[in-house]
Amino acid sequence: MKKGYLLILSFFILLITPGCWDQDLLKDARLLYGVGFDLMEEGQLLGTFVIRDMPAGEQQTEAKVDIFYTTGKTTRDVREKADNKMSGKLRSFKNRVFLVGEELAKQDIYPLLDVVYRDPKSAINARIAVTQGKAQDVLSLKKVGNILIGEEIDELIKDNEEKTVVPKENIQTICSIMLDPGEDFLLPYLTIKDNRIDASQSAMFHRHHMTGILNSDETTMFLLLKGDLGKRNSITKKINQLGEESGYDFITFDVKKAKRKMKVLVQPNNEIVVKLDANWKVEVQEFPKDHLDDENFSDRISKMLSEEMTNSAKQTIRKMQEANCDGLGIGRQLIAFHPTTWKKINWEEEYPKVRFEPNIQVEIVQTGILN
Amino acid sequence: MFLVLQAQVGLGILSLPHDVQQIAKGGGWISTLFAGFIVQLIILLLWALCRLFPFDIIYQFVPKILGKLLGYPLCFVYIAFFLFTNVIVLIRFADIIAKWALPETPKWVILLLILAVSIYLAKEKLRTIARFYVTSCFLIGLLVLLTFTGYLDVHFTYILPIMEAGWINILKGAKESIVPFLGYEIILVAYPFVEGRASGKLKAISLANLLVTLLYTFIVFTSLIIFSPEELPLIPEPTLYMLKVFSFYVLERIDLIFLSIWVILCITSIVSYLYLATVGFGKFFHKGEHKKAVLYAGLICFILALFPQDQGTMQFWDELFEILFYLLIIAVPFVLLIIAYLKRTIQGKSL
Repeated sequence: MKKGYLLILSFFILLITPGCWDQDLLKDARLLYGVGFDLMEEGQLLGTFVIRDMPAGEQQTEAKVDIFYTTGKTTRDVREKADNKMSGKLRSFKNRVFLVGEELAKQDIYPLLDVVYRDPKSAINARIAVTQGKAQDVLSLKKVGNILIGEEIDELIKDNEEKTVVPKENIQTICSIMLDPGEDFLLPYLTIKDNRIDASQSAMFHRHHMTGILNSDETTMFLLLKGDLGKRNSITKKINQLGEESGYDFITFDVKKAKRKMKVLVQPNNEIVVKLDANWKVEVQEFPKDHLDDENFSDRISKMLSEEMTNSAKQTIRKMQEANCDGLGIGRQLIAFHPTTWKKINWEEEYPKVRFEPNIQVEIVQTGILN
Repeated sequence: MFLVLQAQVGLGILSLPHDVQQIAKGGGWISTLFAGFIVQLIILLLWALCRLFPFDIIYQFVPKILGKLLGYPLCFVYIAFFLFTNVIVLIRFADIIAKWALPETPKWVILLLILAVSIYLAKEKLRTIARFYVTSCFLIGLLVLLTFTGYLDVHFTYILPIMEAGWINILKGAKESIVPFLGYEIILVAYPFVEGRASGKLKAISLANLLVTLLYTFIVFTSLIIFSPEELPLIPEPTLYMLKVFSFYVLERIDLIFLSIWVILCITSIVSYLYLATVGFGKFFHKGEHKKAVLYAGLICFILALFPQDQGTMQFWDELFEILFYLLIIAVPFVLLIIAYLKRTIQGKSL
């Protein structure tokens, strides 16, 4: 008898205990796949929302995107207003891309992201990128080829990360760096060309705001200097010294292994010197002139490439210094290994004055299936 | 050993890195090691006390040392302290669950659910409780495994310079992290029930403490190299936060998985305190049957845990708790030990 009561009781408990307050049904949710923010006049924010809908009931139908815009004062404010404008509940936990318009990025991006860091349900590992012009324009493409805009940007950036074309960052990884005085980050910089998105450049940031752009070669160089090697990467260089007819004076190679050593030295006169020694083992992918089996010739090419690469490293670093973007984390090294110096100096002013001495050694180790 | 291990691992695992880093900066993990060492000293103290009365639990030997007039009130202070600890753990627990997983669910529901489970276990014999602890122990390993995913993106330079805050602050940080180690007080009650020689028991407890120290140090260290020094002060639960970032092909929000495992570890802590307190009630009101006390002890905790709704009260409770901790876990046992020794020697002479 007692057991019977217990059984009934436990059924009753089962009935009342399941979490009814926090259920969040997928069928009520409208999933956000991409979001963009722009700065409007009078400091208003313009939010662009990409919602993906799966038409219910019909099978084998394509997903559709719905794009709309709202303005507001803050990220959350814009989102709430967007939610008011549509049926269903706007849910951002599946968000894949977070775009920031250039004008807004030049101001300060931390206030924009605060809500993402604060809300436990937010998609904190979404990719974040800066767009040339307005983020609205990029998202309004709706489709690129046959692929919906949210996926397109996400996949594009992912691909380019693998190819060492753009830096690999997401909303959370930049948070650590943004708040650290000793390091800055770079984000992919999207441009539109003929209804296609190009994601090969990157935007340099200093602390919370954008300060400049690196083109695609420079970005790759930066990533290689930093040691963030993707699965593939390819660099094409013109070799002028050979004096050949056109088409024969280019070489394309892929860095297989990049060893690098960075030493931050503080000279007695408080000058900061950064010695960057890199050793790249490369595979030649394209070189019509060939003759790489000749050891002398191959050595000559290696030497030339080493020189070229060192030069372009210098240029890249100079450009970053001008933008005051400490992407290599020199400040971090100072904090860690020279804390007394760090406390004495004003990094904002000191960083552009840091003397970099890059030295890149290129070594050809593979030449494809040709000799 | 598992008993102590499980009682110790609990709340601190989530917020410890944050608390320690605020004071000790990059040297936070050294603080944790220090704390483990200090805790070991406290354990030695408690063990020495228990060893004098191999067949008595705390509520029996305290009156023996101090006499009934002083001893009984002190026993009640201890009972109140254990209940109070329980309440603090419960509040924190409900807070974190509400913040991370169930924002819409009313707090009393979370508290009720967690207490119902705890009461169910706490009314059993110590042997049953210990068995449950042993079986759920592998979960700690699982937590460590999950934490390893954090190593996908680390910066070792974040902990440098180690001495940034200086030795004094590292020691202060150690003081801060002693409290999360709490749980070893369970030996005050469990000691006579464990079989084996006194030295063997000490070994088991020390081993448990060593494991907890290593676990906490590992977690603090991991958080320190994942979050930059300026970021960590913003994040009260770094251990959860770092898991939120990673997603695998199928799994997202690993923090929620971590949380569900952590819930079990937290319940073991709550059960331990509930048991500690109710054994006291049982001793005084129910002729040694702690079972009968569990229900109303749980109810007291439940009501008390509903009280503080704002940060201010909570902070006050926390401070109060810390003072009580130093008083009751370090100072009082120390005095008791001295008195007990003195009594022994005097009695020894008079015999």
